[in-house]
Amino acid sequence: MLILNIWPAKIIQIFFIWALFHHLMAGLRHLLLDLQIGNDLILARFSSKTVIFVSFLLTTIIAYWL
Amino acid sequence: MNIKLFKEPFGGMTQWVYQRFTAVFMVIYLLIMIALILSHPVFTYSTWVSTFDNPWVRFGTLIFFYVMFFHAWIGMLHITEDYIKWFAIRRAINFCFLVMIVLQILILSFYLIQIGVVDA
Repeated sequence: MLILNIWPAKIIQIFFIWALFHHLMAGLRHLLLDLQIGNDLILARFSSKTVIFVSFLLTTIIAYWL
Repeated sequence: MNIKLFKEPFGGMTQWVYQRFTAVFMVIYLLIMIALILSHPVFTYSTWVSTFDNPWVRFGTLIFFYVMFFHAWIGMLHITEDYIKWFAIRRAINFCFLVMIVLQILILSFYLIQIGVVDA
């Protein structure tokens, strides 16, 4: 559809894709924390940074493909 | 596990369990759908048609959306519980969210029946 290909629409799409990936990655992190994996402070901080990084990376890959 | 935690009808522990189970279901659904769609050589309209030809995909998609609305509603309950101190206003907002989600589920069901993803 043409209206999905204009740049403001793509920015909105990329924003929601980022929101989905960030929520997904953070949710997986919380599932691991509930299983007592990575509860120690250094690992928890590392995994929180990893969540931000990986969600940006996946969003970039999808954004190229859009 | 302390069974007393589950005594309350829809208490924190019950919400926690529902939130995790729906999350795991949605992750598995997304992984399967990504694999199914990527298994096609080209990505066109016919990809969607042949993917949704499978009744398990249709049923799974329907359950996915119901589960997603339920997950979102529990998330909204947690947000209002954290940020809205006044009990009556919190209950009113929670009720508004419940109405919204029930309406969304009804609209989605009618839409899926209309476009033929789910048989009435």
